[in-house]
Amino acid sequence: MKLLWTVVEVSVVATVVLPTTAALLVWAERRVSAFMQDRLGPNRVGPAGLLQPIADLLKFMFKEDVVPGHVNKVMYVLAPALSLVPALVAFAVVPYARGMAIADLNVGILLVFAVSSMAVYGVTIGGWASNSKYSLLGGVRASAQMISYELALGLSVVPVLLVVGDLNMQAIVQWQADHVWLVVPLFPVWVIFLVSSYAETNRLPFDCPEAETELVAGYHTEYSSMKFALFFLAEYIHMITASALSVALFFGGWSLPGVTFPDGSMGTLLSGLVFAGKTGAFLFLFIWVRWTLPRFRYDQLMDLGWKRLLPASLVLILATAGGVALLGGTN
Amino acid sequence: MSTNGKTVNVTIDGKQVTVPAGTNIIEAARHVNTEVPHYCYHPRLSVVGNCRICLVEIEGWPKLQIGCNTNVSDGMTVFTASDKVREAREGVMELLLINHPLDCTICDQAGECKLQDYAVDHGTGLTRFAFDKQKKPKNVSWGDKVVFDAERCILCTRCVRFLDELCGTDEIGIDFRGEKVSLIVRDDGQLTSPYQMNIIDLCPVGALTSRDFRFKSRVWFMQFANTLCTGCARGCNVVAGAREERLLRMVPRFNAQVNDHWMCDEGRLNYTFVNDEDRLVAPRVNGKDVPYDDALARAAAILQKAKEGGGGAADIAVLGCASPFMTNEELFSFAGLLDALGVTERRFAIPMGEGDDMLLHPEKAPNARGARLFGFQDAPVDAERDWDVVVHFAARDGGGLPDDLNAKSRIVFSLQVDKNADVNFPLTTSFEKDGTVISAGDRLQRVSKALTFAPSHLTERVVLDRLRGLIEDGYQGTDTAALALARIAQEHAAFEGLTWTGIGLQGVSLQLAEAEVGA
Amino acid sequence: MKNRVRVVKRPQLSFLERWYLGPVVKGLGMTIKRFFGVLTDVLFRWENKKTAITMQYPEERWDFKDNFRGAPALVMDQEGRSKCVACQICEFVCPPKAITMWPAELEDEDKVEKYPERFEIDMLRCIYCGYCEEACPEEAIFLVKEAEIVYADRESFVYDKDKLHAMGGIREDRIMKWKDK
Repeated sequence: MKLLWTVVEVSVVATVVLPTTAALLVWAERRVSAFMQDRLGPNRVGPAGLLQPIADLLKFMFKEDVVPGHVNKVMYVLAPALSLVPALVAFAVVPYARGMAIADLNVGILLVFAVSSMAVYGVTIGGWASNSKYSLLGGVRASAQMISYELALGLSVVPVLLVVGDLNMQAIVQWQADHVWLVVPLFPVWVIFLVSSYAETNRLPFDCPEAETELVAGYHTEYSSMKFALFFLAEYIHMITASALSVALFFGGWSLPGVTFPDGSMGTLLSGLVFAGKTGAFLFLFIWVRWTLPRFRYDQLMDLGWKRLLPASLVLILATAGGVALLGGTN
Repeated sequence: MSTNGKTVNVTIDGKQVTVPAGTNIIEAARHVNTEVPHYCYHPRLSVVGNCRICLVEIEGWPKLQIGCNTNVSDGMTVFTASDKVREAREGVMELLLINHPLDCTICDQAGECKLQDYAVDHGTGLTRFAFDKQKKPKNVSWGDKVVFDAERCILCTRCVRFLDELCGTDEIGIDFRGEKVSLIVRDDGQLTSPYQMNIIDLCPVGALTSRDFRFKSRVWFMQFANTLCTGCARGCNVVAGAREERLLRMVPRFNAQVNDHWMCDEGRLNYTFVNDEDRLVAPRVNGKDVPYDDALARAAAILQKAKEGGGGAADIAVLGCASPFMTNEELFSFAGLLDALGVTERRFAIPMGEGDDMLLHPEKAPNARGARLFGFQDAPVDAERDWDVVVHFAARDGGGLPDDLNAKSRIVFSLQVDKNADVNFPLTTSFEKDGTVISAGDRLQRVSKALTFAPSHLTERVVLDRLRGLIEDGYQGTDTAALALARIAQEHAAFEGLTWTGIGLQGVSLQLAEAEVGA
Repeated sequence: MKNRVRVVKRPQLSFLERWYLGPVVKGLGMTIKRFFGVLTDVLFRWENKKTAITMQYPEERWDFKDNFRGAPALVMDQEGRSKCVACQICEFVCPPKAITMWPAELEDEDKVEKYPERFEIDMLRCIYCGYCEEACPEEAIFLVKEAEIVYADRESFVYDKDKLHAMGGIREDRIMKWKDK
């Protein structure tokens, strides 16, 4: 029974919820960016342009699936899948409602990092297999950038673990529901986490791997049709996962301060809605930042990652450890 | 102008020039490249001095004088552009334009109108005449060739004088008085002179327009070529105007040795065959359009058979029939081809018509003298004989050979489709190619291309040269008519030393022996 | 030679500035302000929107100014006769050779004498330069406020005389100089 539920859960989340959210996110990004630039954005297809993602999808599906003659065909075809799968898998441990997660692992947070570092392979292989200078440069940039910021990202989670004392995601959320949202005591840590997660998802202001002005379209220059759509989908699912993690680790997950959800499925549903709302806010932040900030130069990007965020996160670990030692363990 | 060989020295606008005594100021000014504006004066017509635009200032004379009626005298100093002269011309222009209807938008003369030119050069661009303009008849038919517009007329009387002095028919006169003055035509108001259309060219304004050319094209759209009228043996020099590869009109071009300033109406209107819709455009073999290469191959096969049979000898009878509409260069190539085949039977026929004592010549073809010169005889073809091969250049009406001629194979060059031809090549008219012809009085003159017949078209000279190249190893034709003429100059004594540029636009007179050109 | 190179010193950023946080927050404030501006437009004041500048094309249309140069058209005078006398000056000045005209003689009316038997403007060739309007001595051709010329085949772009007259309509002729000819 448990197994059947898991199968249903996986298939629904992986094939319906995440792609649909990603599609809506594309629509939202275009509308929000338009609004921020005094435009209106796509508003013709369906009510308020909501069916635009379906039109886009149809276009992607009916475009010719070009495989250029100069590419390494096996790697070229493999890369989009390699990019998408880790994004989907990382979502497995996200506690999307009270007591609910696809895989309630006791080392959940580690799984997230383990899987999401796989994502760099899709991008790098895609860039290399395309056999084009723009793609190659994009792939090289992506791998360097993602490895660099993984350090800061990983280290910025350590204070959370120090405070909560558990690697299980549900436990982290539950701790926050019982005590206080971790963003309150660990605000600087959250800032580092947020910045690093932007870099990890290749979003502006850190989208050097696909910098249009320099590299045409970076690692997916040579991709078209559904293969390009997979890269596109992967980027947006990464965004969703990163937002969900930010909510789970720092903003109390599905909990609301001073609110106790009723027992039973109604309470679970409400908590899920709260989690979705918080994640949505973070997704909006992603879009908001993208259409506000200019792109970093590549050396600035590296400078920020290695010389500022890494030392800062180390200092914050020490400070948190000291704080925890002074105030006493939470267990 | 009786000169008695005397010359006088005059100074025009500070430039010294020596001219024959009795020259008027307008002609003398031409010697120093100064144009004195004039409407009514024409070098071949009597001087009337009624337009007053040619006023010039002469040193020591109290009043301005008209340039057309004042002969230069020794030591005379003339100013054609002094302030006084300029003021007088502005006054004359303003008076001429008082009642002018400003029809330029619908006037055929616009673009080559002296009233327009001088209004720009010498007018003020303003009028002080604040009253209603005089209304006169417009669009008056003077027969089927000339249309008259009384409002545009400036009463220079060039047309009156032409028909009186040169044609002797005296058909136009001036009637009424004061502001109502107008030209009228005698009797029933229809012109009858066979040279009447020259008054259209003479008219310096748009009062007389051609019924034929009326509204067909503005002159600035046309492309012009200096060529000849090929309606008769006279070879009047003309300027042919074409637009979008359609010939639209011919006007005479001055040549003192041939046609002076004039041409006959018959020749002027004899151009419509160029624009015929049913012209043969592509070569045909056995009634089907084929590419040139195929037609040439078929014609060469026919001729090759004739050559091996011995040409005009007893075995195979070959007839070469030229046309007096061909240029010398084509006749030369044709004669060369017949030489290569060994053909001795060479004929052509001259279409005859009526002539007169002015320009019209009874031979209705431009180059009968050239055909004789290149060895063709205008003798009747033996219709009784069974011909094996006939190479025939058709005249404009398709004629030149008896209808009942017996021939096994025919190679025909014609304007329209020839149903009897085995190989039928399209013929170009004289307006579609360069070349030379020998006009009456043994004058060698050039015809020039005024329009392109068809983009892929080969002229007859090229076709003949290629045919000869196919049956005679190593023969190379010439690329242009000028090069062909150079080859003729080497081989014919009559053409010795002549070049394309040497002939020029006016032509040269040839010294031909009587025997060479016949009667 | 004098050294023309001028060295521009980079501004020295303080420690806090080097974290970029201040300008980032300022920028975020800017964009969110515009966002809510357009959002308010879309939700509450669509009829007289203030921030959104996009024109919703088929429904909203540009208000052409009087000197707008659209497609050329022939006009008629108040008596309904074409002002064009087929002088062919527009055909002559037309830089892309979009105008073609076949002039003919008016048989029964001896006042104007000449008229265009056929008059065609190829709207695919036309570049809307307005030379024809400027050159026309009869004020018979005008560039009207017509810019949406869309067809699926080339033939339809060639406008004939009737279509051009319908587009141009009637413009009053104050002189009517042909009337008293």
